[in-house]
Amino acid sequence: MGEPEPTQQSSGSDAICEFIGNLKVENDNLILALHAIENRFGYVPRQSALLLSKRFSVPLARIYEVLTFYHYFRTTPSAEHTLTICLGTSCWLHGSEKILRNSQNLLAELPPEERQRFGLSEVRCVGCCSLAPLVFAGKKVIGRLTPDKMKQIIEGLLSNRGDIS
Amino acid sequence: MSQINVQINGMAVAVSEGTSLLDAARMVQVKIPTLCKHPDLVATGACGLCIVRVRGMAGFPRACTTPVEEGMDIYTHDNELTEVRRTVLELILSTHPNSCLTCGRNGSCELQTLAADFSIRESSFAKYVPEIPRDTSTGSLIFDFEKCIKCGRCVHVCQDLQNVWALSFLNRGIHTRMAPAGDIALAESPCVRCGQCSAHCPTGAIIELDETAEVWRLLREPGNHVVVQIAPSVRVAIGEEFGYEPGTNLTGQLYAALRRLGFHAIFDTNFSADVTIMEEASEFIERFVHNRRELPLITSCCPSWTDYMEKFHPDFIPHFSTAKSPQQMLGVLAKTYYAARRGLDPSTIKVISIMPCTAKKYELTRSHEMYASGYKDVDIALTTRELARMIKQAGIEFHRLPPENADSLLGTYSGAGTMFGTTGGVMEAALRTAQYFLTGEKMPRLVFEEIRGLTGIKEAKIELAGQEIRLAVAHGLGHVAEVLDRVRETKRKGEEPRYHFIEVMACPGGCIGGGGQPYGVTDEIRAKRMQGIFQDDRDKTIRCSHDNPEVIELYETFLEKPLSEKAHQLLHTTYYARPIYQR
Amino acid sequence: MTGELRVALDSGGIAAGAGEILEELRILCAAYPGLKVIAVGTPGMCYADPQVEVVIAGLPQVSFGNLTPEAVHYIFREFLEKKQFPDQEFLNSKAILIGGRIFGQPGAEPPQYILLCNTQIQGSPLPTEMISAFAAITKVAIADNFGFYNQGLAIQLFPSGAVYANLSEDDLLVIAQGLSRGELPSKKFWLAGNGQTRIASRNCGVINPESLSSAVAAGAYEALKKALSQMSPQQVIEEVHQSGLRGRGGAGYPTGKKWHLTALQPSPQRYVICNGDEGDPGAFMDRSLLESDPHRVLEGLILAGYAIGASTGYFYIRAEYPLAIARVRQAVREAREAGILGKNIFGSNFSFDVKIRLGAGAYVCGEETALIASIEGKRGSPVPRPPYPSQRGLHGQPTCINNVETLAFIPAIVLQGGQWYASIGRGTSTGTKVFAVSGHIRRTQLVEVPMGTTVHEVVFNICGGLPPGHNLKAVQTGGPSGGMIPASLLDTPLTYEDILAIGSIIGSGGMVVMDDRVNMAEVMRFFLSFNTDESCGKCAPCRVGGFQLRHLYEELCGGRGEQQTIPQIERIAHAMQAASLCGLGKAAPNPIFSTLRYFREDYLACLK
Ligand SMILES: Cc1cc2nc3c(=O)[nH]c(=O)nc-3n(C[C@H](O)[C@H](O)[C@H](O)COP(=O)(O)O)c2cc1C
Ligand code: SF4
Ligand code: SF4
Ligand code: SF4
Ligand code: SF4
Ligand code: SF4
Ligand code: SF4
Ligand code: SF4
Ligand code: FES
Ligand code: FES
Ligand code: FES
Repeated sequence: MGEPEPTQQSSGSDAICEFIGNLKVENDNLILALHAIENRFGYVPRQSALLLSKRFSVPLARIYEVLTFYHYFRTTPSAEHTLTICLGTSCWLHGSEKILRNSQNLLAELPPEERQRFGLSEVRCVGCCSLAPLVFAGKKVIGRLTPDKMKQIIEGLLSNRGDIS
Repeated sequence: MSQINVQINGMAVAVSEGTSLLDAARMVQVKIPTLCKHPDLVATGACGLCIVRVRGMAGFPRACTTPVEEGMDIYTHDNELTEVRRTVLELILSTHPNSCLTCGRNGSCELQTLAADFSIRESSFAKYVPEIPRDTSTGSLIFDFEKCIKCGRCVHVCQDLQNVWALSFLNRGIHTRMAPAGDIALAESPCVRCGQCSAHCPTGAIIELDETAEVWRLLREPGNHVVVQIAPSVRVAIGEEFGYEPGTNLTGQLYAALRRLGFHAIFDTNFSADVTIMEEASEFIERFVHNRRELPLITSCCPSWTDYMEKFHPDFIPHFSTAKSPQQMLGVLAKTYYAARRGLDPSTIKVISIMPCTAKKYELTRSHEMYASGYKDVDIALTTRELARMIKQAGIEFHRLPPENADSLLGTYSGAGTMFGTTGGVMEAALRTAQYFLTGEKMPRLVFEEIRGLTGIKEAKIELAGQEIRLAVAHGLGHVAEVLDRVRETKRKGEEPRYHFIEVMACPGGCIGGGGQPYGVTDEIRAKRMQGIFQDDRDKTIRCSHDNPEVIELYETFLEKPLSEKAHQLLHTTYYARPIYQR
Repeated sequence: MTGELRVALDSGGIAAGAGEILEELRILCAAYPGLKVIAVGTPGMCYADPQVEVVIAGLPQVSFGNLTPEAVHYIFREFLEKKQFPDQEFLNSKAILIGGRIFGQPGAEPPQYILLCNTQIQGSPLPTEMISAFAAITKVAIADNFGFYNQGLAIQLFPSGAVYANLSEDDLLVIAQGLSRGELPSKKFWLAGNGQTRIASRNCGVINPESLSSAVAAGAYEALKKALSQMSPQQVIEEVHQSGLRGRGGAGYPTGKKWHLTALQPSPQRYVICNGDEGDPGAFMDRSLLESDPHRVLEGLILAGYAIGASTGYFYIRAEYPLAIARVRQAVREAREAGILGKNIFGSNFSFDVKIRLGAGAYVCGEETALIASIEGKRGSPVPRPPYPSQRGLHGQPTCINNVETLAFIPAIVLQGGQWYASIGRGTSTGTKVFAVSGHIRRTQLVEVPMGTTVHEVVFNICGGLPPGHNLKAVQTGGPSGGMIPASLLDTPLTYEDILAIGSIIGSGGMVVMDDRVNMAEVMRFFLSFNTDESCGKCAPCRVGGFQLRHLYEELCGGRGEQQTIPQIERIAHAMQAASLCGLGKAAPNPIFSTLRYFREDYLACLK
């Protein structure tokens, strides 16, 4: 199974069927398959869990117990902009928890339709501690973060400016 | 297997290899506290209460998961162990509601008992009980997720013993919770309502839907003619609720109790079990003699099993006996045959059944054929546990009751009928009658030792009228797939059927191990209940269904003969392939 | 111009902008066919990202760090084209110059380039007259650092690369005078190394991790060839046994013994697994090794497979490391094409192939039984032992799980012998250990030192201590389930036993430095939020105990702590340690005991 490119979200059942139909069935491949679906759709739609259950002959209960166990997978679509702040020890020592709280407050002040465009989450160290504290804006890493820098990032994304460094 | 010598609290004991420290301790009368381990299940080590100290070993191994090793010096109780256990127990209780008084397990709860034994007198830790709505969707079982202590028993029962996979854990850490497949309603999941999860749950997180209030209401309501039936396996299990040894046959006391509760007629499901045999044995003969292609014939009196088959193995629908279960047969006969003979208005007849089973509650409405009398054939199905509570509510001193008899028309039973309560019993009962049908012999072979006992899959070959009949008996749904796969294999190869007759019961041990039976079942208790059933059979002078005088009367005056048109209309049903997931 | 420019393109480098630097350099080098720009992994000096190492004939082999595309242009023009050091003003503000990583022998020839450095952490800038004294001799610059600290003034001469340290200002002036007369510095100041010994990370930052030929040129698969042609599996195990190597994943279990036990199991099918789940926050040793020298780890895995008699190996890599995954995939692909994986490797009768499986954001999957469950497509919940994975592991077969770094040592051990490896290190902690040093530290970096090196040596003499303004309070080792080493115990040698004796563990090699602004109760609150997030939830002591502990620490840190809060914490911690099912829950209370032991006053300060 190749590493599927993350593409824009289209979770129509046809897309799902075709995509899952192409996954290689191997007994110890369930998590790779879930990765592929997650990468493809930005989450694991229920529809695809059902199809996967058929195709891999794995009970749906097993798929969900796995799906919800691992933080990497989601069962609901991800927001337009995902901000993942590192809460590893180094990043934490360099104030990432405060930045997280600031960002939460910042987002909370936005009007609901704008707030919904953001998904704020945490990760526990990505091994780039020299850049602590850091945030993933989508797949882009931004290091040596400050509350101000974070504010700029959010504002930049809001105004749809691509330049988030 | 070689013997391993260990010391437990200074007492020497020799046990066989592979024995857990927990079981080894039991041999010297030491009970180590447990909460997650159940004798039916492989130990997972989820609760942490059974930790012990082993000299020379670092840390505290779990008694339930650790096998004995030669020369182990084990200490099961000391101040530190007790203190750790108490702390763990308090931690568990900190995520548990304090609602014993309104809980279905009040008085029979393993968690409550431990809390009492450990002198828990205060909640030291902050309470954290996230609100999760209860699941009442099946009408059989109530899932009260807030009371779940995540011991994992139900999940393992449902996945491993039953192979249904309706349940699993979701999320992780403190957010771990048990939920039906993919967080849907239980009724939308593959659940077959066998209730094994509830029978194994140590707490009140999974209980049967209690319908005793509705029964009281029907009994009180003027104009009702309320009849009751008791299933075969109830008579050898209910005693446990009143301090009897498991397996004690209390049929007479049950009749008496039911009469005192105010039921107008006391019937016995064993009677309709005899009717089931008449129909099923005739079906067997029909297929065996005329249409071998639809062999094997598969028994269908267990609603969890039929549900399971419809969802997971619909290719076996043509093999199913179309005979309804004894519960439903008695219901329809009460509202037709009995009503007519007694001159009663069927609309006033209410049929209550006392079952070992939570799926029986679901069976009442499983298809339109359950209304063959023109009314709901059986109005309410109670479990053994519910009946025990009614008896207690009514102030009946059960253990002092003199035995009484059932009422006539639907109350007499043969030894074969009672055998329905245990795995292998339906088969044995059917063989008795099939032999008679096939050979006309008056004294057929009665006992088939090879299909008795608690082995998951039992096979036998018998001689019947000069022909070999191959049998298979499975109990516990987890054993079904293997049997069916063997059949598929021979079918695929176009060979002679691997089996001619298959009996399946969803619960381990059959109905004696049913999901609605008194709590705390183990194989030891199942075996005793099973012996109670066999004893009931032996005690009977009439041991074959076709010799039951009331059955003979039924056919002579009402149904004509087995598989008659009327019998088909009232006593048979059809099966449909159903989706595994309703959503 | 001939030679190469090595741009550190590991994920840290990329995140800091090394991709752009690489592009910029490729454009600049287009005019010089002899000049290759190659992407390498991490040289270990994460603090300097983005960085480039210049390996060009005639130029000193030094590195430039903290680069921007503009700085690259300037360096290219001045250093590569004009062959002179960039302007000191530039080096003070726009980029840093790092002394050569290779410490040469004192040569005979006069130096063409000279680097100066004040290695004293609290040192002041070098006086200008000193610089002019050397400038009179040849090209000179002041380096940001030489990779070691606290050894007075130091000087590095090129082309020899020889380093002289522990110099006073007077010594330095004497050396300047000597050099101007053509005399080399006195050998008594000569320094052979910077305290690091690179075995596992030897090729990191040196070779192109995406190229098998680059790895082979650096000696990859020599050990495998040797083993397959000259050694029986038992001999390989024996060699590893003699090396005294202990698992680097945390538990420190002797690797030879683990292999022996797995090989003993009667079974036609056995598995080896490389544990690349590296979940400890603040640890990036395994990421660095996988990203920078995947063939070394792969070779270790194949050797493990040969030793225990497995025909299938697995890489289990956490999903948070996409670059490591990509590079391992590439390495496996190339190795397979070259016949290093597959049937009859190197013409022997040993066949072996590997599969790659990904984590999905669960720290507990680093635990062996959880990892196995995860590979089998299940929840990553640990299961009780026995049976041990070596008895009944993946798919029910005997399975040997080793950490990335553990495997990275194997080729060298097979090639150079167990005795050689055992001669490094201290006591039963043989060989070297890779540490990732981060936190309140001047130079966040990867170091590889002989075991037995003191914590102080690593933190102060290799990583430069803390940034100015604050003092060290504690060094945390072993991740959120390790412990705190207080400032007073920094002289403890980094061996399994010594660190355990002071209430911490070596763990997987994360070392987080904390300064005196940090309150240890706060740190514990943070660690517990990690441990409760990562608890699999299977067993009550960890699931609920961790949760309640976190709650108590929140109370404590929120100023709501009461007299009984600390005893309650101790009570739960004890129960959790005693009754948890797996290492995560058992070890989570470690730092509680450690902080209560050394920093109780921080707790008391929180009480209301
Ligand atoms: C909660 C937990 C997390 C672990 N995480 C890792 C890990 O990320 N990487 C690793 O190599 N070992 C990890 N370990 C240790 C492994 O279980 C195991 O001991 C190790 O991989 C064995 O390899 P070694 O003998 O080479 O050290 C972890 C252990 C526990 C209890
Ligand atoms: S489950 Fe047990 S402890 Fe909990 S409320 Fe019910 S009876 Fe009480
Ligand atoms: S046990 Fe205690 S709480 Fe429960 S009813 Fe009795 S007195 Fe009340
Ligand atoms: S009733 Fe049976 S099938 Fe349904 S959840 Fe319980 S164990 Fe599973
Ligand atoms: S519902 Fe009952 S059996 Fe299932 S995990 Fe919860 S407490 Fe255990
Ligand atoms: S055998 Fe089981 S299902 Fe059949 S009537 Fe008896 S109790 Fe009910
Ligand atoms: S075996 Fe008996 S108790 Fe169990 S589900 Fe079937 S009918 Fe009900
Ligand atoms: S100690 Fe924690 S992580 Fe380990 S099994 Fe128990 S709950 Fe899971
Ligand atoms: S702590 Fe944030 S990257 Fe390591
Ligand atoms: S009974 Fe052993 S851990 Fe629960
Ligand atoms: S050198 Fe780049 S992160 Fe270490």
